[in-house]
Amino acid sequence: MFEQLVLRLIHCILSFGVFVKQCTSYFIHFGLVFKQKSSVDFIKADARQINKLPVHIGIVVLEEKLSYTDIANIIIWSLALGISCISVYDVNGEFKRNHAVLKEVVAKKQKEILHDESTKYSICLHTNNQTDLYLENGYSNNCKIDIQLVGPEDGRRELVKLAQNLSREVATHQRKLEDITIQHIDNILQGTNKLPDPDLIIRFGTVDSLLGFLPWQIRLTEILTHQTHDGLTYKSFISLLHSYGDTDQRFGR
Amino acid sequence: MSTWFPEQPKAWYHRMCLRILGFGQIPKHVAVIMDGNRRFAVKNSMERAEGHLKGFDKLTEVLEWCLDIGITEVTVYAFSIENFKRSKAEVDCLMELARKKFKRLMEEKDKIQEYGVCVRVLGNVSLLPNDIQEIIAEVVTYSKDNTRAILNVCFAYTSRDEMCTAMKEIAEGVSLGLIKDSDVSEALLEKSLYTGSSPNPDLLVRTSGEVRLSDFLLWQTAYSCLAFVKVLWPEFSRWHLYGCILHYQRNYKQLQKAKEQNEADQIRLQRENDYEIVAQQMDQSETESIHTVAKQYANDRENRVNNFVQYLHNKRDKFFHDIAAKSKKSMT
Repeated sequence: MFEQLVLRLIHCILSFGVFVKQCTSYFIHFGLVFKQKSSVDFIKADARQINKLPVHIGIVVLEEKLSYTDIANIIIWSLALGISCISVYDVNGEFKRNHAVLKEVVAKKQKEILHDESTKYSICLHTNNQTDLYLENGYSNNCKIDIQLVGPEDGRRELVKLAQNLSREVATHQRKLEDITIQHIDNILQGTNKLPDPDLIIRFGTVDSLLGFLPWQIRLTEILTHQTHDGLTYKSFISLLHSYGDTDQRFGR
Repeated sequence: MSTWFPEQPKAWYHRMCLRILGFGQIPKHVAVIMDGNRRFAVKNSMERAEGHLKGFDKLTEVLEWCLDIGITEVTVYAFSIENFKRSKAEVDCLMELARKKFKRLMEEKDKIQEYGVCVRVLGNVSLLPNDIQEIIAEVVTYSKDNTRAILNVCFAYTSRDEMCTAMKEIAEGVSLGLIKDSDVSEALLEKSLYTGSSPNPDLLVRTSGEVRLSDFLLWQTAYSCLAFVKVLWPEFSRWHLYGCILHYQRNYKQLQKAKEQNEADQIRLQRENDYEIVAQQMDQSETESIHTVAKQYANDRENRVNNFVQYLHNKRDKFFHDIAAKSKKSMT
């Protein structure tokens, strides 16, 4: 009984600590909220300040309430920063299912944040490796961002499907057993879009886990956490990118 | 030389903390990336080799702390296939450490039995020098029937290599007619991994403040609690471990929910798959209801899968057994 009480108390204290930390970070960012409406030039200047930009960001949302507007903000900021690929994941695959809604919100945010420059950028939304590919404002290919919407079926289950196909091919002598290599698996999983593995995951929510997000693709991915994506400010997003830019990888050496 | 079973005394406040933690959920299986030995060596101006040695000593301590808490299975990342890219001197030094430590473990046979420890070595063992393969095989075959505590040492391991190997095994199983391609499922692939006989880890601990998985148990930790601790591995203390457990307990409910959701999805998919196949095979004239046939089919499928998993298990046992037998023969 006594121990249980103490354990409860410790958990309460920890939760309170997290809450206080959240509040302080909120106040730090509060004064800078207006910067959210930054112009493209402002964002580009920020990009130059960051030591190393990720090529592909995985956005893993582990929260009950999903906010399409905040995801759209992240997409547009990344576009202006020069990031070329974003994967968006939630455990129920809701973003993936409602890709039409997300597309609409992104289009709106694009005009809102980028103003007249918005036509210079194109956004490519994929909901799977092959299907449902559509382009917006495809005037220029110089500033293009690929958005890959990911659900739980793209994780372990995609590997199962792959194993199944490979077995079939080997059993019918279309493929040799030795041809099943890491490289080959990797090539197939990259699909037709040939998206690189994510180099940064930003995980939103209080669960400290990845809950099934693309297991094959995340072997070298930096995993950063932020309390919530709801109302994420530009400033917080940039500071996450800064902490990514300051890490250095050794690749096993 | 330092032992595998340090048996340190516990202070009264440790015991109290353990009792307190015991009132929450205790992870059964913990995976550890022991990162920071080299940085520890630089920080304390010692040789790299000494840093790795300190890292090993820490491992033996942590294993004991885990047993104290009630964690019965620990999986550690000892050496990645990528680590072969390090300088020859360092690779040699790590191999020498492994050689000595596994030898030492065999000298402590009685303790292995006393603690009931099963030591498994997971990875592409054939990449290792022959003599190390032999010692490993000896340890693995000696301890394989123990069940009280399990230590999985990932050696010459990467998760992608493991998944690729599992896919190859499955493809071979299908071509040999042991299983059908339609039998391939999340459960089957999971059981075909090197870790096939273990449950997935509940908690993954990585030290040194790095926030990556570095090709370690990517499949298995999909629904595990992640704890990235900002301390170099040789400086990891009981308190850090207790902190990780508390962290796990705070995450437990949400993790459990996601895991159950995934399991329910798996069962649904499997059932749908069974019905689809049965519907395709069924004759119009058949009098039995589709449910009965599907049930029978599911039963047969489970048998096929279980037999295949057993076959794979025996094959891996035999691999170590043969090496151990060969080395014994050459000694006499």
